Amino acid sequence: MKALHVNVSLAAFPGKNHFEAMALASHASEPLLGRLSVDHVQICPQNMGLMNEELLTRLRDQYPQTRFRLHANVHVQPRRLISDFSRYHVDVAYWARLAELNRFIQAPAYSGHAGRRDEADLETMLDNVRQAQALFGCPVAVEGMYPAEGDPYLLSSWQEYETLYASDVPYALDLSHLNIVGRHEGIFLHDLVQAMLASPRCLEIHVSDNNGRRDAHQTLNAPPLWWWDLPHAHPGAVIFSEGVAPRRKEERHAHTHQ
Amino acid sequence: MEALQRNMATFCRWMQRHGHEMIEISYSGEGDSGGVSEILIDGESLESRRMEGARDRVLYLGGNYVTTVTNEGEITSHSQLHGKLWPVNTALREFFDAVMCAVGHSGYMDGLGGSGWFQIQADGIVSHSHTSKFADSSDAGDFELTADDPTLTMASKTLLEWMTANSMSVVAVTVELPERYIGSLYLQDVAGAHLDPMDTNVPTVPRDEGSVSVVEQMRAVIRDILAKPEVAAAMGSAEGSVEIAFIGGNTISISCSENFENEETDTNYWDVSERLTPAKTAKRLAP
Repeated sequence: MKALHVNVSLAAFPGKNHFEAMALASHASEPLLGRLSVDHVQICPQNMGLMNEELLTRLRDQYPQTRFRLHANVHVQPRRLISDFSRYHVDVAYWARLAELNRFIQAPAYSGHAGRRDEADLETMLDNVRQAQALFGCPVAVEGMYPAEGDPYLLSSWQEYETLYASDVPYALDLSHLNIVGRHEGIFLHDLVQAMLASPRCLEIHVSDNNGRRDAHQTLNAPPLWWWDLPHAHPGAVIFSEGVAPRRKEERHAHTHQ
Repeated sequence: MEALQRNMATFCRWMQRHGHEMIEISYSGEGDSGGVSEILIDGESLESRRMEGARDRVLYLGGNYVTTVTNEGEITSHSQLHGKLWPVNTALREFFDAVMCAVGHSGYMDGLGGSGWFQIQADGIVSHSHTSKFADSSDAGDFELTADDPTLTMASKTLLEWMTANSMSVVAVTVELPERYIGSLYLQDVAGAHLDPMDTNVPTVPRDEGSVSVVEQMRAVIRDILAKPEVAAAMGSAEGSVEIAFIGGNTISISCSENFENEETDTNYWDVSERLTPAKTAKRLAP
């Protein structure tokens, strides 16, 4: 398999401010993926600090070669919100601000999470993604989820992923989420995954490791079974690693008891 | 920490002004989302319309981060502080983000996540409890079989013979139990190249039925290996994973581990009561 061009998601550096995260991202590598790229970088809610034009300008000035994009629930208003596509018509001001910042950096794409069943049904949520294309002024992709207790998330079964594939909606495919779907349903649908990866509507591919139980965001050490589906990816899809290097116990305690 | 403690004192003064005794902030997160679950003032939601002082603005000290990277790659950052008059609700949420970063738990919305609470008492005592969840595992047993082991089944023997005939150095699989879900599977030849296990075929068992992909063959191998008494005894009914590695066409290495989720709780305390003394104010007001 030829070497993959995998970019960094700043979600891989939780708790760091955006500049610390970028400094770490610029030297990041993973056992399976090798050296990671900062050609494209995803700005995520895991990083500390309110995102605004000033911060984005400083990021662009410091990293002029990097194309930044926002991903799901970025902290853009003083009050933090979890607002997925299922809440698109509820948190109107939040989405407007998100789109404003997205346009400010002329991001090549925006991706967000599908959201919760108790907030919208699948068709309504997909329709929200369609409507967001105009607001953001760039392709907008929905990221599918995974099964969890109580079945709270939209796009969390193979059947729903098939519905997404059959629709006209762009998407971000998180292969580690699909690993959880695969273990839960007892089968990994390689044919569907390969077809979804190959589609020009697949704008982003997210990778990290887990054991199929929870979205653990671990770095990849050995190739999971979905690894062999990756060569089918559409050349326009940008791959992001969300793997967080495990922190040593002493590191976890370093900040406490001050 | 200086700015955080000054903000803590600000919230205490706000409580004292309105006769409140305690602010409680609870939060939780996992996967890649999470946040404040609720903010209670003396057990009542801050969002409540009846809440005394809920519409107040307080002077919150926030910061812009300045990060520098030395030639040696060392990262240092400090924040340039500035004050903002924010609604108390917004200020408390901003404080929450900042203090989570300061105590090293801002990754609570990543991976298995974490949860916890803050209590800010009007008398200046601030406490925090945070529980992090971790995926953990423990060794349940390591075994090794050789190609001449009489208990080996045809599926395993066929795979070993195929490896020798095709210059393969490693075929390794991770099986997640109890579902027997194949988590990872890879093939490496003697030159170090990795091959796609879904596109690489091996002879079937029995051989006269042609060939199947390594993935398909592996399902039979996994069934046989997991049925071995020592492996079954090591794993019992536990949730875990078994790594099976066929090495060099002559050895099968089996590593069993139990997986579990672990929790770790940290607590932090701050006493900002000294900052609440009205000394400066008294001096200013003195004739």
